[in-house]
Amino acid sequence: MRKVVVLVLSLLPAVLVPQAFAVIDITVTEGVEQPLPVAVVPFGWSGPADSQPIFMESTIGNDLARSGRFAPMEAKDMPQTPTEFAAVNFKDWRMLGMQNVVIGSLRETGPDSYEVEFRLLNSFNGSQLAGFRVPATRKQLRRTAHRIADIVFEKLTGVRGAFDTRIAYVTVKKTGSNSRYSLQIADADGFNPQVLLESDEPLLSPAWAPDGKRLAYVSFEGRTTSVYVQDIITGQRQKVAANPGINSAPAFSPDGRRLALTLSMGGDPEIYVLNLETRGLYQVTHDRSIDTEPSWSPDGSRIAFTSDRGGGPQIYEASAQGGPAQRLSFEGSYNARPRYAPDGRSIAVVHGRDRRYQIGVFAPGQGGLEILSKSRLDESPSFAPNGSMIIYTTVGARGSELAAVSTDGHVHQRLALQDGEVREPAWGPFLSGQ
Amino acid sequence: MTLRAFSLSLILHAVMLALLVFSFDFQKEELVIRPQDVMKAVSVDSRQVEQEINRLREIEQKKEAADRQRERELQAKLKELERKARAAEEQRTTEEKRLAELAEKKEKQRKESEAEEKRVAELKKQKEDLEKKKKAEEDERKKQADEQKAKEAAQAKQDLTLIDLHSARIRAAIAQQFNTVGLPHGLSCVLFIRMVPGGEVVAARIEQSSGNDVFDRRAEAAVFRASPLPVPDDQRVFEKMREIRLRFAPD
Repeated sequence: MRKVVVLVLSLLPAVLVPQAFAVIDITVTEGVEQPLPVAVVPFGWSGPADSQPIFMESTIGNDLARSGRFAPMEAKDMPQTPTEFAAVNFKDWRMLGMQNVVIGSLRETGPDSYEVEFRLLNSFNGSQLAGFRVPATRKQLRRTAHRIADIVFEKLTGVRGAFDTRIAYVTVKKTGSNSRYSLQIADADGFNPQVLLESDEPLLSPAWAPDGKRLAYVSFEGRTTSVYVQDIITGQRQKVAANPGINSAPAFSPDGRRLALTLSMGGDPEIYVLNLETRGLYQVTHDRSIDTEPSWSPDGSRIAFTSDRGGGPQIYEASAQGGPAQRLSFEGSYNARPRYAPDGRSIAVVHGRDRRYQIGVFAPGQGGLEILSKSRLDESPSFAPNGSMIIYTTVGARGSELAAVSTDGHVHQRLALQDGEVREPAWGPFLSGQ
Repeated sequence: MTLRAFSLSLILHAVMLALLVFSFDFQKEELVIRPQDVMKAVSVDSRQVEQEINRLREIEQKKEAADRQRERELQAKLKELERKARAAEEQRTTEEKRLAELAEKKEKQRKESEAEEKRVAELKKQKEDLEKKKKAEEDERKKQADEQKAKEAAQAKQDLTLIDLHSARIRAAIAQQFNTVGLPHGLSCVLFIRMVPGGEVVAARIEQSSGNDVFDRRAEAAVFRASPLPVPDDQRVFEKMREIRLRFAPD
């Protein structure tokens, strides 16, 4: 009898509890789109304050902010500035709703020898999402910061970061009646510019090879236009197209073996594809109007280009093997210089309207076009390899300047670091090895 | 029986009395005809007289013997009668005693059975009372249970309204913190959260991942950023939504 009673009593809670405390179900079907809060805490530094080689947190924070996806917290708002894991008070960060906290330190380990340590922490559960400790020379420190920003970006957005990448562009310095053209590459944030080539004749249209080791460009050396491919590290270059008439607008195929370009040797400018290994050449477009500014689709199957065959410049597309072209842009009367987004779903263009030229993005077949830039004369859009940003030129106080906009149009930034005008920026590929 | 024994003894006493009276008469008669007187009167014929005296004596003796015999017999008979009477008396007493005992026993049995009957009746009544009481209690309990049930049902309905209201508030609060910027479309995940009174989230566990770490973490972040969640002040109602299953399925 007692056994039965005990059994019944022991069964009671099991039977009654779920009934009494049934779990409420709530479905969240909406969200907000806003920059992600992130706190990049000032890195610790082992040496004297005036000898600190870099403020890692600034470079990382700027990278993240420039992407438009992040809203870095200001240092003065931070509840604490820990530089190591044990010193982090997760509760403090949690109270502020700050989930993502980056901490780290920089130590001098010898002459021109440093050690960088960083951790990306999730304050909501006290876990570490990412972290590393690497040695670096003074020159490598900035790149290390970009790598950290990349890791944070990827961990928090699911998209590979593109801060540790480079851009190529042409600068023009005018002295009297002479102009000095310079082909340069720099870090994606505009730092560490490096001159690859200087010329008194115009240099145009730098284009990255997918391996990030070569650049194609157009040079007016010898008063004729020629297309060159140059090795960035060795400086060795090769003239790959020097046909009668125009040789311009080179674009590497995604496999890096071919070059699409505009040649007018047939009379009017047409799109051609040049095989860099065999030197074989074939024509993609066949139209009496101007066809130029080719851009490969990421899968290498199609080539988009600008053509005025319809009267004004619009974006068309043809098979990379050649064949009939198909019009892609229908918004407005001026759309030129197409660049495929890395995911192939949208195309950035220079969109002209009411005598203003701005950077726009449209998805072929979807209709509509979104204007991303704000100025009157914005040119030469180029996607970051992760598609999160577009770099372009705009007209500023000193003439043409570098500018960047996040692909969602939220964050605009000028990269006015160079002397003189900047033209035709090209965002390089991911650097190998991540 | 008693009557018969009594009459018998009466008769026996009467007989004995009669016998005693008779024997007394014989004594009297003997006194009347005394031998001295007889010898004084009859002196003429002594022989004859002697003879006569002898004969008379003899008769007398015989008579005496007979009387004595009779008396003995009577005595024996009396004794016998007395013995019989005594035996009868004894038997009667024994019988009476037996009967009395029997009657007593019977009475006792009657009394006992009566008591038993009474006891059974009382027990039965007790049982009935108990059952009646039990039924009354049962009815009362049932009535109370029904009332309680009705009350609880009303309360539950009211609670449900409160829970719905707060669920909507919680949904809105979390949606406001659910940052979907840059997230791929078509993902969903389920979080199981636990709160303490006041709505502070003390635990959030991913019950069903979206397969995308970033998405899951954003959902988790939304919960903690929205904490404390708008929960009912009423502790009792709060208990019903202390634990919540949250599905994140942005359109």
